Amino acid sequence: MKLLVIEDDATTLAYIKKGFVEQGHIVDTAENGPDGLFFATSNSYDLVVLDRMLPKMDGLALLAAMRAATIKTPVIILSALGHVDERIKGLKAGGDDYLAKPFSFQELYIRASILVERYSASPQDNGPATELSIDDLVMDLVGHKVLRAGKELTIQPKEFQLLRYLLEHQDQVISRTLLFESVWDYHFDPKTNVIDVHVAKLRKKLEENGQAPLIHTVRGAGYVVRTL
Amino acid sequence: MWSERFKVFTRTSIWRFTLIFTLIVLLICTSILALVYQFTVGEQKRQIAQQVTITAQGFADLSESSSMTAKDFKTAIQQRIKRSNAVVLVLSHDAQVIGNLNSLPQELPEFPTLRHFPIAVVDHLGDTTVEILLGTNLQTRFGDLSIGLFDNNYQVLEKNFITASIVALILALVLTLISGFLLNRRVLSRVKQIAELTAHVKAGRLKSRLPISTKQDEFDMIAEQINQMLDEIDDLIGSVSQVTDNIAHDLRTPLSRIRISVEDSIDNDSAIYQSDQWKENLLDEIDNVIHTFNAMLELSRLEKGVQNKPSSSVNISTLCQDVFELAEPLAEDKNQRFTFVDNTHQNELGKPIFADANLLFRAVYNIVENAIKYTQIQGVISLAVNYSEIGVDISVIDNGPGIPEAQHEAVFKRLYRLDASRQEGGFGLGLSIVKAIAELHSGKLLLTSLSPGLSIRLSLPQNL
Repeated sequence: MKLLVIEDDATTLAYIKKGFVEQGHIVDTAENGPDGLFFATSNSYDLVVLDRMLPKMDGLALLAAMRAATIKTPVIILSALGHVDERIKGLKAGGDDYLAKPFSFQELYIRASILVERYSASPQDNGPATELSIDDLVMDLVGHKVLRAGKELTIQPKEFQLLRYLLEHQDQVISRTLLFESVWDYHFDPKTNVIDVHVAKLRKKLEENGQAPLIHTVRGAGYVVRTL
Repeated sequence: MWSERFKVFTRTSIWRFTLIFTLIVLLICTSILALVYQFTVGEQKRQIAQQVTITAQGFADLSESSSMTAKDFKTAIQQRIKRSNAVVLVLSHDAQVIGNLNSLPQELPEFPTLRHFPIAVVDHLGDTTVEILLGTNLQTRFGDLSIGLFDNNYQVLEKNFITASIVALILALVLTLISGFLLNRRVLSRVKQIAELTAHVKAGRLKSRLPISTKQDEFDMIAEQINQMLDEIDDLIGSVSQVTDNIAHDLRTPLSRIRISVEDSIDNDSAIYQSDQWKENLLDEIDNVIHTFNAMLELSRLEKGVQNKPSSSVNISTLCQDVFELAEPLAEDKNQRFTFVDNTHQNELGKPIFADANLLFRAVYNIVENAIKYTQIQGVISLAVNYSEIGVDISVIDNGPGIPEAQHEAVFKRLYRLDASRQEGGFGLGLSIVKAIAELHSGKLLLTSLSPGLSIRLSLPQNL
């Protein structure tokens, strides 16, 4: 994909650029507001990564100007202001996601992928999925059932949501924060092992008959669902 | 110096008030004096005019009577003069002048118009004085008749009255201004005390306080408020410096661990430093520092009330259910019995609460997480939500070790931990954040010791 990164801190900018380039993406960069706005309005991107505080033009003002120019490219706002009301302000201004600094590249990357995926999902896709599966695991989204090797598992509603989110993003590393936000829909960092405990519980259920693990821990990053 | 002081003085609101007040006093005085004048001097003057008119009318009627001869008319005038020396009558008849004046006064208007006119009177010592009379001229068939009455006494009275009035007004002006000045100086001195105090505080002398008199007036009230405010600020600064030590521990300790580790990795080629494990540990340490730091920043924000007032409608029972589901596995891991009791469905009051869902979730989760963390294995914890008279009560009850009654206040302080060695994980910011969130929602946080255990109740009003 093609990205535009607008960030005035050279180190952070290089860090983000390097990360995306290593993953084989094309990255344009701008170091101040007016340049960023120029790039955003004159080229077509799959995603814009926007710093909240920029020289010459505030990030939110830039975003508002972009949206006013009917550019619908998804935008992730990066900010040292991580508070909930700052987040709301950012999303209200037209941002699609909000990431507080400092952040791990993994986190940014997965959020970026999810946004781009969602944005490019065209309406002619065959409606919402009714079933998700990996290996010998099948999730029946209509009947709210989970089957492993044909055997139904007793699974609680939150565990169901957790598993569904992971399955919807197979092969993508999902951070604990992202998992919490998506499943619980509250914004704060519980910063305990509580998510790990939930995942461990779910994992135990999936592997109760000694089957191969499906949910894998990526140290320092989060979880990923994939077959080995 | 003096002019400068005067300027300051005249700028005060009390001085302006004094001026307005003086003006009102002068107006009132003038009105009263005018009224008094009308009832005394004015009345006398009207009576004299009336007498002149009556006398003139009498002679007019007399002269018109057909039986009246010139001789009889003159006799009537003579008799009238004899009867009252206050009356002056002069008849000019056949080029002769009769009466108690030796000539007709000039320029007297025709009856019934009256006018003042002067005459010269020579007394028995030969001194000439000027007297003022009020009179009119009456044309009769016997000749022009001038009629006048002495008005002198009332002229003097009027003059005296006006003089007295002016003196009284000046006195009133001076007295109100002086009392205004004295009042102003008193008030100004109290205001000056406050100004001096703020200057002291600005200069860093936070221990300065305002004197409070026993009068309990409005200035004492202000002074008391200011003193209380300063006490609080002083306390706050005191507690901040206490907290600094704790911050030093909570931030500096992991930072120095990181530093030592990295420094060692530079000097040392040990395989440990090549391992992912080492790097991940390092990342964890840094994340912890960032988290503590964020929590402290957030707490300051919450306490300062910078956060927007919560405004969305939140279903408390769903929120508590979510907290319960999030925390349940933690309790399960410790084999604790953790229950959620939702009493809101049994109540018709079921209205949503206006709150910030994210903050409230965080507060409730924090309480629950603490309860699970500090309650022993196989302990009992319950989360309950009830409607109260004012709104909603969320309570978390455990049968863990509890918190000694004496420390109930202290646990809300930043970075306070019961365990002085600070070995247990966590950031010591939890309960102070919960309290700040409760206050942001105009709610209360109540700790009650149970035997054994602890009950924490978060009471939120329906409307902020």
